[in-house]
Amino acid sequence: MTTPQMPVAAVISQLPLLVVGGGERFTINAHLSAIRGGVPADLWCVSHGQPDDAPHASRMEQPYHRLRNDAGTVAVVETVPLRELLRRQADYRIVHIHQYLRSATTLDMLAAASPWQRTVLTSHGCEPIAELFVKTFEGHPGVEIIEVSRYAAARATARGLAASHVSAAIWESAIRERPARGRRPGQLNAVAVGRLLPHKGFDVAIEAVAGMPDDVTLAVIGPSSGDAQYEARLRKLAARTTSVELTGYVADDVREALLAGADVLVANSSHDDYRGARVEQPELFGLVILEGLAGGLLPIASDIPSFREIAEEVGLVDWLYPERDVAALQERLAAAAGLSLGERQALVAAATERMRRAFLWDDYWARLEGQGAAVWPRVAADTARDRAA
Amino acid sequence: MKLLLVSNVFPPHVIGGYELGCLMNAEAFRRVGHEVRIVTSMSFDCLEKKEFRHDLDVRQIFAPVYDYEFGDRSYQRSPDFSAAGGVHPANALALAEAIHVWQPDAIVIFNPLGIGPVGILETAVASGVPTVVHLMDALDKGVMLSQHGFEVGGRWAAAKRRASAIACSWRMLDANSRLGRYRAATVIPSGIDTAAFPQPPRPRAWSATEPVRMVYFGQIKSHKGVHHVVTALGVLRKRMRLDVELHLIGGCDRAFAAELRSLAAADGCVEAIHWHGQRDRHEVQALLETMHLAVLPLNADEAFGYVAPEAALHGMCVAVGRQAGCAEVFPQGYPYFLEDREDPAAIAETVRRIIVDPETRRHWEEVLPGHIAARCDLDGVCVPRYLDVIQGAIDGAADAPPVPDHLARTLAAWQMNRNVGRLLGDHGPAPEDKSKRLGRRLERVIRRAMPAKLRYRLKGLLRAASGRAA
Repeated sequence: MTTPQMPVAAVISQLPLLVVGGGERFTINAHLSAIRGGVPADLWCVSHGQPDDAPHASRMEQPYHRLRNDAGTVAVVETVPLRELLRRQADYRIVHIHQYLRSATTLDMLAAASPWQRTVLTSHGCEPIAELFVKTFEGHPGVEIIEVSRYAAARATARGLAASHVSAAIWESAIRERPARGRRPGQLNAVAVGRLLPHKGFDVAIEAVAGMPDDVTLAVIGPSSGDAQYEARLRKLAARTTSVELTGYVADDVREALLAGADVLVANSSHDDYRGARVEQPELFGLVILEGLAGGLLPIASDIPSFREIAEEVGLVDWLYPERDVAALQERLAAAAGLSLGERQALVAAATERMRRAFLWDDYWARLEGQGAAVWPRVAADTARDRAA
Repeated sequence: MKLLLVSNVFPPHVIGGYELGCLMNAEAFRRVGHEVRIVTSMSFDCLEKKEFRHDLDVRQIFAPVYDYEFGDRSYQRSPDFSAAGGVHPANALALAEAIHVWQPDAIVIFNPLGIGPVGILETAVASGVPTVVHLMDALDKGVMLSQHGFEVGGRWAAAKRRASAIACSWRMLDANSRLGRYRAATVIPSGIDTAAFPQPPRPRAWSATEPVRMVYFGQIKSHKGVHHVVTALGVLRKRMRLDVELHLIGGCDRAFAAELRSLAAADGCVEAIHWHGQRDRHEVQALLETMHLAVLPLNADEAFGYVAPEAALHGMCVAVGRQAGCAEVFPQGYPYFLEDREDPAAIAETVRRIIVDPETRRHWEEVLPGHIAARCDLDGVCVPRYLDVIQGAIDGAADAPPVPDHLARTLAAWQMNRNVGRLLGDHGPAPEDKSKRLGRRLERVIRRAMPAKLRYRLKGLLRAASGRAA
């Protein structure tokens, strides 16, 4: 009979994980990465939102869920108040707090960390307490800010918070070889994926495809964001051409089929939206680009810092276009349409190989631990011993 | 070995048995050739007791433990609330420096409450010097009750897992397992300097023509159950018709003395009570030599209770509270335990059995001193066992290597907590529950106005209303 191992790590999300978006998916995958890497780990999340700066007594009663994570599907195992979580927190050797700029309870967790513990902080862009955190945070060797991208780390550093980064986006098992498909010369099927938000720049992609020959098509796949004005604008733009389809929310199998029928993925996020409104950080990372690449699609992306970072890493800088530049996007689409199947597959294969080196979930936890191994050799050694056991 | 002892208060400043235990251990360690240094707080003169002067190497490096002189539990109301059950950064720094300068082979922590217990234990353990905690109080309870404006109970538990512990009783070990367990824990009864007692004890001079001299000694306070003894005296004299005197040796505040007199007057036994007041150790020993039996209804909060085994070492039978820590060093089958120390009739009945059954009484008068000495003799039994535990901690030191930057972490965490409290305005202990405040006020009014006997009957009710533990 084997004795169940005590968890040595905790992954804690300051946003609920039962409604899944990009950041939440990152948290769940980070936990899976620890588990699959042989590190016993618990997954926790706050049960629901609370005021960012709730007083101490109220923060201590904030409920947190401990979750079961079945290959990415989570379910609540138990619920305890923060006070209890803080007591248990000291049992873990590594505590990885996601969305740490969401709630002042992050500071309670840092104050409750024991000297034998390593705490890692990662933001996914939800940052209501950023100012409070900068004013109250006291750095020390036991805590590291490890963001999801070089760009996100640079943002933290600009705030005065020393940060590094470890990225991940794809499980090895999700990387697929695409069957060769015959295409007429100049034919190109593009997809754009994401929630229909103005800063995602779907309007730019629609305008670009609308101005191109009918052989170039676009499917916009993504659920409503609740921004009716923007969605009406997209519908109006799409109505001008037969080359663009707005699918709205689709089931996973339909989504897979649409992606399988595509050749390129366009990611158009930008700092300015169609009204000229400015978004400080349109994307902290570029998950969608890497997911497209894993599906065998050639990504064409706007030149924002986080997309450029990925493009540089996978060697596809030539396929960036200046943000909100319709003509430049048309030029890249035309160039992609001009590639033979073999040329496009070779480009994608080379980029995929480079992606494996920097963006796999399979070795994410090990890379995360390695990031602090110089500072925390003992924690790393203990974890390695646990893994071996 | 170089042993660094940590105690919030140290003789000649004394609150209770914890400080005396620390003093006795320090002297005993030195007697067997170890180098001893004690680090303690700057104490108030009102706590000073001349009889506990010594020539040990004591460094008063910690900030004062506030408000102890105002009574039990008052340190929890200290203006520096983080000192009670959290981290006091100045004290953590002071301890780290003391360790760095003196380079001890082991650290033995006695009472850390009031000097930032979590910071003290973390600093000791994270220094890499083997650390042993000597448990003579419910430290977990003290820490848990003091988490106001911060929550570091988990850090306390994490530090405990890396330290060894010596508990003075199984009951104390249990009370100190509420917030996690120590890496290794051993029960060793508190040591008593048996050489200070007559050996063999002189037989008690029982006489049919003289009254039986029953003694209570130690702190004369309500939580020690003295009022139950006074009521029991009335039962013994009036209902059982036994000629018994009660000798009270120890300090007592005026209000409680008046209450005891009032209780005795109600039972018509004022003349049978002899007040000896506060005496030094030698005078107490001399007085005990003249007594026939001892009644010590110590309660479950009593970590050990030196008085009961000390009375036994004088060759007396002792009616002692079953729940007190010291009851564990009495023999199995000992017939004079007080099962319900709050029942004066049961106390009287136990005393009656001691008086009217000379054969059993003589048996236990002969047996008890040897039995107690075999378990509690400081130099012969306890200190060797203490040193074994300390050596064990040294041998297992590899399991708790030093954390080089622990002070930076401790101070940063403390500062972060302060920063958040300042910015969100939520620092400091939560306001006291109004119903508890009302209960306390009501208790004070009743204490002044109601006859003591009736008041003690209502004690349970009053305590429930005031939210205080029994």
